[in-house]
Amino acid sequence: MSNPLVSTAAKWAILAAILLLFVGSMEPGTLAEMRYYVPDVIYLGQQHLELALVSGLAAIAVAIPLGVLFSRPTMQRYAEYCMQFLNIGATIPTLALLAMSMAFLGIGFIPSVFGLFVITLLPIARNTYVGLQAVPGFMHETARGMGMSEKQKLFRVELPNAMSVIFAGIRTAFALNIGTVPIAYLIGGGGLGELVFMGIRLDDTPMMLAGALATASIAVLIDISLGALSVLCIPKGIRLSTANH
Amino acid sequence: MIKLEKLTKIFDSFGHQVTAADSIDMEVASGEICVLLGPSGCGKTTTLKMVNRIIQPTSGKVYIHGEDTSELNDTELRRRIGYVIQQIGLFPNMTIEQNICVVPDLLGWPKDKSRRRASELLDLVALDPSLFLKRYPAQLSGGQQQRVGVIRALAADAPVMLMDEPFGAIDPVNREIIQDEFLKMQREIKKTILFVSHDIDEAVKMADKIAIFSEGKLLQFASPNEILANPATDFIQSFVGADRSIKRLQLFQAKAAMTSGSDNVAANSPSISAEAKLTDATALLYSSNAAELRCVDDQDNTLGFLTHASISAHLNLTAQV
Repeated sequence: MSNPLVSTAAKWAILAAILLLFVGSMEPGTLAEMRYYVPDVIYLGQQHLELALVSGLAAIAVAIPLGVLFSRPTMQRYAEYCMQFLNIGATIPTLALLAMSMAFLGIGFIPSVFGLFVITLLPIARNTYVGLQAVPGFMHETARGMGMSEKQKLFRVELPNAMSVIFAGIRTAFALNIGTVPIAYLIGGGGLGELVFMGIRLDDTPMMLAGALATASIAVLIDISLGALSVLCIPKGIRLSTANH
Repeated sequence: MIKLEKLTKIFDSFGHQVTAADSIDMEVASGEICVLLGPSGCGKTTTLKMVNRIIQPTSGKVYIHGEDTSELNDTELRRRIGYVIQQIGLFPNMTIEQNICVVPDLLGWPKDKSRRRASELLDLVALDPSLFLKRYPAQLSGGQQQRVGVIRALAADAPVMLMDEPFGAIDPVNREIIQDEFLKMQREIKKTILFVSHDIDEAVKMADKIAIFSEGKLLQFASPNEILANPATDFIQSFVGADRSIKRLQLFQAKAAMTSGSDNVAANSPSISAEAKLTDATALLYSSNAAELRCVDDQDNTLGFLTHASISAHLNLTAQV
């Protein structure tokens, strides 16, 4: 859209309309009952955020160097095999992964974080690898031809040019992560899953909805903050050149 | 000065040994442009890239100003050589200023010195520094990007430049303009340049020396005039084209071929500047259907006369080795 202000306003209007529709379709009194769970939402929401951020940040810290490593010429031959290995990790259903993680690490915070970490790892590592691979050969050649060392080439040319792809991976990974956090409740990880699962068990719709809506809000908030962060991290010249194409 | 000594590259391709460059010997004098010319796959680019070791030579040596470059490490060597490629390769994440300052920064120049240099260089190619320094490559046209690509290679004032089909991706009209600009610039900066091209017209225009390659071998290394007048092999003869004597006309100015006196001086003969290329003079001679042209200086004083005979005499004379 031509005007960014108009398009942002339109997005929010659509979001508000969906929310209104949703609230309007609820049984009368549900909203009032949901208010009862606000203290729980705040307490569990903190746990939820903690699980998501610790596992997510750990995944970023591991996945980006991993993607960089796979993209190095010496690793090129093994890169695809390693990626397949991570792919297989991603095909394991979340529930099974958490169950396995519980088998090794017991219950509670740590096995939950580990399970979430594994899920978040792949999209970031893959996007880092693909983003670096997409840096054109002539750019490598120019960087080398001008006398950059491998390290200078990586930090001054390759990573800045791959940054938008890497960030897309981080956003996908975090959306996946936050949507999975409720399941961590099943292995004692806490978080808003407690309200969701208990609400289902007790056939208590307001309880379930309180958990579900709070989970959705956290996901949206995190995505918005990541979007803002990407504006800071992706070099202006790259944003300009992708806007032109 | 760049000197190549028995420079050889043998690639191993699926068990076959392919000789991409076969014992190339060549010496380019300081301040000269040497165009490496030939069809694709002839070894010209391989030879060029062995100079800054983007391609590692299998054997042989490269000397720059008498210094054996095999004693330098790769990054040290490359920072001393300007490098321009066809795809330009400006870094999109950096501003024009940062792009130009890449090598000075790598060499640890003080910031104010390298930034001043960036402004000077933009001035040199008629791009206003106050407008362009802070722009990004995506905000420049193709021709502007190409100019920045060339001046970026000049940033650290390296005495030697390698140019790999630097003007190949530009439309013909702008290519002419950039070539002329570059030649004008070269008259001042006097770099020693290796220049890869597959275009004989570009080579004749740009080169002090032409090196013709075929199948990994250097076939002939001589001035454009010499290559066009006396092609060493049948391959070169067909490569430079049947119109090679017409191509030679652009190597000379009208005054070089004029005769001082004429028996039947016609004051109303068409006139041409003595500085004009012989190509233009010949074209005028034919189109005006005159027997002779007057060569004039800028005050319209007749300096001499050009006839069909004097032009062919000059071509014949300069074809003698």
